[in-house]
Amino acid sequence: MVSHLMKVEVQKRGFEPNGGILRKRLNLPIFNDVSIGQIGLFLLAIVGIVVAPLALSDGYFQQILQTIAYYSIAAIGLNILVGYQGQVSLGHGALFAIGAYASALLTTSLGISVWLAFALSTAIAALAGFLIGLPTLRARGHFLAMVTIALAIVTFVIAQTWTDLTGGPAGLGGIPRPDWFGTTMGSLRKFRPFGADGPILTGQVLYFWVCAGFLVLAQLLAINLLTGNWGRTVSAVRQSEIAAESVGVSVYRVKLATFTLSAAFAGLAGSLFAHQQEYIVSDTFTFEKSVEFLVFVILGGARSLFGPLIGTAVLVVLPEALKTVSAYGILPSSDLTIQVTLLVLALFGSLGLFVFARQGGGIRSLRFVSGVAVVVGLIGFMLVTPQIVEHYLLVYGVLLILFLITMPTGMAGFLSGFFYFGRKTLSKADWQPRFDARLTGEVENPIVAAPSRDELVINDGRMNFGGVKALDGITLVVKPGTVHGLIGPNGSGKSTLVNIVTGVYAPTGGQIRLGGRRIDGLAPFRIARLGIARTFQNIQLFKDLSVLDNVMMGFSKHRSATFFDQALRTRRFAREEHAFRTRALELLEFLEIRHLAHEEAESLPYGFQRLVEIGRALATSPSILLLDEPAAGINSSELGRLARVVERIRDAGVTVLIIEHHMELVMGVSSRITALDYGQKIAEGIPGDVQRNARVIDAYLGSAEHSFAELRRSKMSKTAE
Amino acid sequence: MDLASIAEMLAQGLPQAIVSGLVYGSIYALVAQGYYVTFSTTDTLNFAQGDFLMIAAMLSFTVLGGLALSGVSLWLALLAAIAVVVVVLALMGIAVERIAIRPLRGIFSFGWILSTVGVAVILRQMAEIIWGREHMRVPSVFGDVPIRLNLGTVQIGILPQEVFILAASLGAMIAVLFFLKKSRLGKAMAAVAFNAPAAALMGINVRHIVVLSYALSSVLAGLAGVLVAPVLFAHAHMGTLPGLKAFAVGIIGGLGNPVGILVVGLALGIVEFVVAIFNASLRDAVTFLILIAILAWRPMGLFDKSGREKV
Amino acid sequence: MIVNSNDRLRVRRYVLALCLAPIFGASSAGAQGNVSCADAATQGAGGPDITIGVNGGFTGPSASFSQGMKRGIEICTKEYNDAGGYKGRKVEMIYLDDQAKPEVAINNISRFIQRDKVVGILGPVNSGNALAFLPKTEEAETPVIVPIASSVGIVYVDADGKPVANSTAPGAKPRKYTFRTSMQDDFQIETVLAYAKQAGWDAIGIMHDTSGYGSQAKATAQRIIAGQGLKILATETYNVGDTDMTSQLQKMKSAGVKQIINFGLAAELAGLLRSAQKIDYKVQWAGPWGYADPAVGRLAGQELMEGVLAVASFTIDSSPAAADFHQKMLKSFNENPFPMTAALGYDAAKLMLTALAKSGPDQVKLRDAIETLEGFSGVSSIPSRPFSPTRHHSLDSNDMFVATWRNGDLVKAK
Repeated sequence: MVSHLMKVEVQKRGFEPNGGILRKRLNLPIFNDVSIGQIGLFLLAIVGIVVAPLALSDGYFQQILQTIAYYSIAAIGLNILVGYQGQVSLGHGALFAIGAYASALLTTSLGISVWLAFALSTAIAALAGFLIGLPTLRARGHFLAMVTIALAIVTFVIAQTWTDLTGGPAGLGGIPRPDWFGTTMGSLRKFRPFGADGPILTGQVLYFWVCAGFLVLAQLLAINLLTGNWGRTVSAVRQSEIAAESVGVSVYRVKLATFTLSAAFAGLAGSLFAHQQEYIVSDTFTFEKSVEFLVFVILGGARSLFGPLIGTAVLVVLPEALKTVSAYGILPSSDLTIQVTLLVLALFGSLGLFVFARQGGGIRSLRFVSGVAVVVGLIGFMLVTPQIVEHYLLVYGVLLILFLITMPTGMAGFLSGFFYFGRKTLSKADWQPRFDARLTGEVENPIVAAPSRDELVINDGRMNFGGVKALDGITLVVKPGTVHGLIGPNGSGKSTLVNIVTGVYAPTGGQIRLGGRRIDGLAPFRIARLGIARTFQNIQLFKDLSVLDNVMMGFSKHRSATFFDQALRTRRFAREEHAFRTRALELLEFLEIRHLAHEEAESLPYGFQRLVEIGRALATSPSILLLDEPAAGINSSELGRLARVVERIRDAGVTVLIIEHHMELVMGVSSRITALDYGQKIAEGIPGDVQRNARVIDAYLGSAEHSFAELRRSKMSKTAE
Repeated sequence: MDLASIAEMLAQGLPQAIVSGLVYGSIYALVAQGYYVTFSTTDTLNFAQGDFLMIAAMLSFTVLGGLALSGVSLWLALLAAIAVVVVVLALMGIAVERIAIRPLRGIFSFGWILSTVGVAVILRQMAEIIWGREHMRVPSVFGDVPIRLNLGTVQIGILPQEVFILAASLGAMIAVLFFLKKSRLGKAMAAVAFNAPAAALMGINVRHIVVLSYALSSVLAGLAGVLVAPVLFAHAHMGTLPGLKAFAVGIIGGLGNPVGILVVGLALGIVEFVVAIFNASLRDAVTFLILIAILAWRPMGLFDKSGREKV
Repeated sequence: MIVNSNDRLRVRRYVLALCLAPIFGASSAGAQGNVSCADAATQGAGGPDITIGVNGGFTGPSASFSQGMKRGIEICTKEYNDAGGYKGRKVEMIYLDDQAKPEVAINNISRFIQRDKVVGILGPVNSGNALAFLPKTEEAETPVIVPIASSVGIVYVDADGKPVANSTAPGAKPRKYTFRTSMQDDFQIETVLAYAKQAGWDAIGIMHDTSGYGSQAKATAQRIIAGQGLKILATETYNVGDTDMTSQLQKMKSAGVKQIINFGLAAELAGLLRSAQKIDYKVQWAGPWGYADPAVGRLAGQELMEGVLAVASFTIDSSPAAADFHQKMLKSFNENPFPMTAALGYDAAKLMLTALAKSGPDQVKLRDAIETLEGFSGVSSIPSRPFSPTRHHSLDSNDMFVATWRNGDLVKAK
């Protein structure tokens, strides 16, 4: 009796959500740091994939499952690009086509084995993506969308017209299917692989297993990449390119890598498609295919790990279901009452979605109900209206817009929103800073400065915008280990100075040196890697990331784990991630915001956001830190704390260049101050002297007039552009 | 193919290619001006623009056909069709801005791309439901007797409707340019395009300007639809390709440069028809090949010199 | 409004057909008297339904062909089931739409085979779709009768199973389970050329669209024309969706082409006629039965259609059976916009149902029954023994004729 009770007790503890055996993390050479629970779920999925098609002996269903599997692979890849990295591709259908044709030609013309063709065509599509991205991704904005539209159309026309290669619209036939268990995959013949008493299989099941196997690999790769540093970096680039560069991330390379990876996924999907079809025709690869992939991602849930899979599954099955209903006469006759009822239901549902859009809490369930009402109403309406059942694309269009507006997280977000019902949000009291004692020197200073202490020299720095001289020959020397203040009225050129030092602008004249090395004209991420860190006047946090993730982004330039380390989750990757996480938490503790580590950065009050920016900049272990108006938006009671933070940064050996309007702060912390006006240096010296300087006083007194002049000037510069 | 035969082909085909190219090019340019108008004020554009053209062609089919059969003169019917199209398309533009553009600000930076593609899908399906899938012939007010010109060895022909297309679209574009440059409303639009917050401070209702720009953009597409309906056959998918080509024109010409759009539009129209002399199947591809080349070389377009960076 | 004028046109054409029927009926091969699918029905105790799959592009660019075919099949099925079906069992036709997309067609076909367990399949309309799915139906040993798609390689393949462009080439043999009632491209071209020789054509050019149908038909035409010792002066292409083909026609004109054999679909054919008029290029247009599509005339205008030649195996005046069939269609659907598609669909369905009566619902036996069927009568000019082990097309060039548009009607050319 007693032992029985104990058993129950043990079991109970074992399955407890926190720290139980399911949560126990394993120290494996690859897939390091995964928990037993995760492995269990994964095995469950594998078992499902193996067993499910056996239960569905119907070859038609298996073919649909194959289709879901390879389209999902394309959608997962597209989601990395669209959802996480924030670039739109309207040409993934073309990359899909490239994969399909590559695979078909390799196997038919060159006689390469199908298995090898899967790999090669993936690589070829990736190469195509790389070559397309190489020139395009240099530009900001949505140029990728535009180039990929062109890519989609050009690829279609080439497939259509280069008939010697592609067979054009007449098609490319005889694409082989791999053999396995002595049976041709995808064939309709039945066989018993496990002896005479074993289950009867068809080649369709085998090919489904191949497709599903690739899907599992693709999904695992996506999870591994997106839940670690790589995904964090990609998301960071989406949210603020300039901030990502400021911590040493090459935005261009990240974009190129993402697009290439995403192209590889599309290529693999195309290859799997070709060997399922056996015969591919150029008419398949129209512009609509690209749109279809995007719809899969958006409706399934962009920026969600499983969204693409969910979206693809639903949207592949939906038209088949509609077709079934219309072809088999299951359709109820068009009854006006039912039609109107369903339309009204859909209408109210969409109204509900609009009303409850983007609100948390209990609203979520109302949103859920509204969403269900829309889907049921619309699809129901199509079903009872035989005249339009073939226009199911109409439903796609309506759902696409509705989802974009009311549920940008798609079906996946919709479902997870349902699960996270009672998630607690922080109350006002939680915002208060804690552990004030830390700043008094009780904890070890976690700031690591760059080993070399370099002097920053700006020599005759000039920056012209059109005809307007924002910086008119500034010469400035920032001594290592000091706090140097930079003041001046609005528009005097302070921020421009920061921007030419950090590489946001290439100066139109003069030289900038860091420890003797010329840095003017270098890309921002290179300058950041040389040891210059910064914060921004208009806060540039990675808004959707947590405070901790923001700070961890600061360690980007110190990372040594490679893409493959992360893809496989090697020990090296896990160790590094763990180490930087610890250091990030130490920095947050130092900044007194450790308790906010897991909050979304955007949800923090303004002052805290500035601290997070400082933390992120410090994580780069800079030799020089440029603080661009750190006190803006901070209330006076917090000023003292900010001053102490600046002093401790200096004490750790980091040179600080602080740009500030707040005289009390800047005079208090700086050992030397430079004043600017109209892009020229008007004074320099120790704080007391500068404060008494007549030109400085003039400049600030005249700032009322000044602002008019400023307005005129900015207008002129705009027109000049 | 040797040089002599290429020269021979050009000598034979070029005059007609230029004439036909100018006609089609002016349509691309007209539709692309619509992209310019909304892109300059809102940094967004309507990927369903081509399908707006289609809806306008369908409407003109219904109005023209209906009125003409009931005995109204074709000219009056054309005016009625234009009136209907202007009103309906303006409303559609406003609706698109309200439904597919405005609510999407700040969710995805690219949400508008997807939502307007969604609008395009919806419009095509609606058109199929309302007008069916058949191609339809829309009568031309000017009849179908071509005007023929004799240039020595080469004869070229042009339909009166095509002359009308060229004249009307150029006229419309010039009118729009004047409107934007000279009228108060146009200046307000320019101010919003230049700096929306500043324009708001100057007392301009930015909201209204944005809505107006969408209405104007849609009306331009609608006008193009009425013009081309008698030349292209009206059907639910007729707008897709012109919409995309106009988009290419907009990108190559620079979405901030209406004159660039006009020039590039006409030039691309001619290029298309010249390419068709040699290899007709590359006709549709050539526009987009040029687009890829230009974007690789100058990502902001050929004539956009602003290169504005927003930090 | 505009629809009404079309209706009027149709009625007029129908009246004309009735008047002309006796004249042409005598000269046409194959069909005589009334043809009904009821003839194929057999009586019996009844039982579960037998399913046959119909795959067509009911939406999308080939909708007009597909809808015509579907109506023909529908009429035939109704006649057959009303007369008792197969030993009292009803035949159910399952219509799936492939939207003219090959990958959708493949999906549909595997659904027919693996889920619906159909005894046979009718369709498709697009040649590309047929080429895409036929390997699957051959593998599954399911007989297919192709009513519309006309590419040679649908039925005839070489020793490796690859589609051929020439059904008479050495080594070409029919796919075992595939038959057609459609008019095969090479025979259509032969029919046109026979006419051309007789009419003394001496400056022939070829045009085709870049779709699967157009580019394949062009290849076939080039081969046959070369074999007949005729010369092609120029070949030009255009894209589906093009409306202004003046560039291409200009080249045709300067090459001195006087007769153009053209492979394409209605809208582009109309565009060509209008483009030719624009550059004042008077040329004899001829083509396979794409020109039989009444949509061409509707789009291009009746004057431009005058004298355009099209290959046909059925016109509403080609035989008494044809006229009767046309009347049946009008009675059931109030219109018959594209009579030839309906006739070909009807004949395909009737063939399969007649063979079914002999074989019973077994795929392999059904195939054999189709191949050996004798004494068949259809509404088009289909012969009474349509197939043999080496011949899986029902219509030879002898069974086709050249028709011409006169005053808005497609009539037999002289």
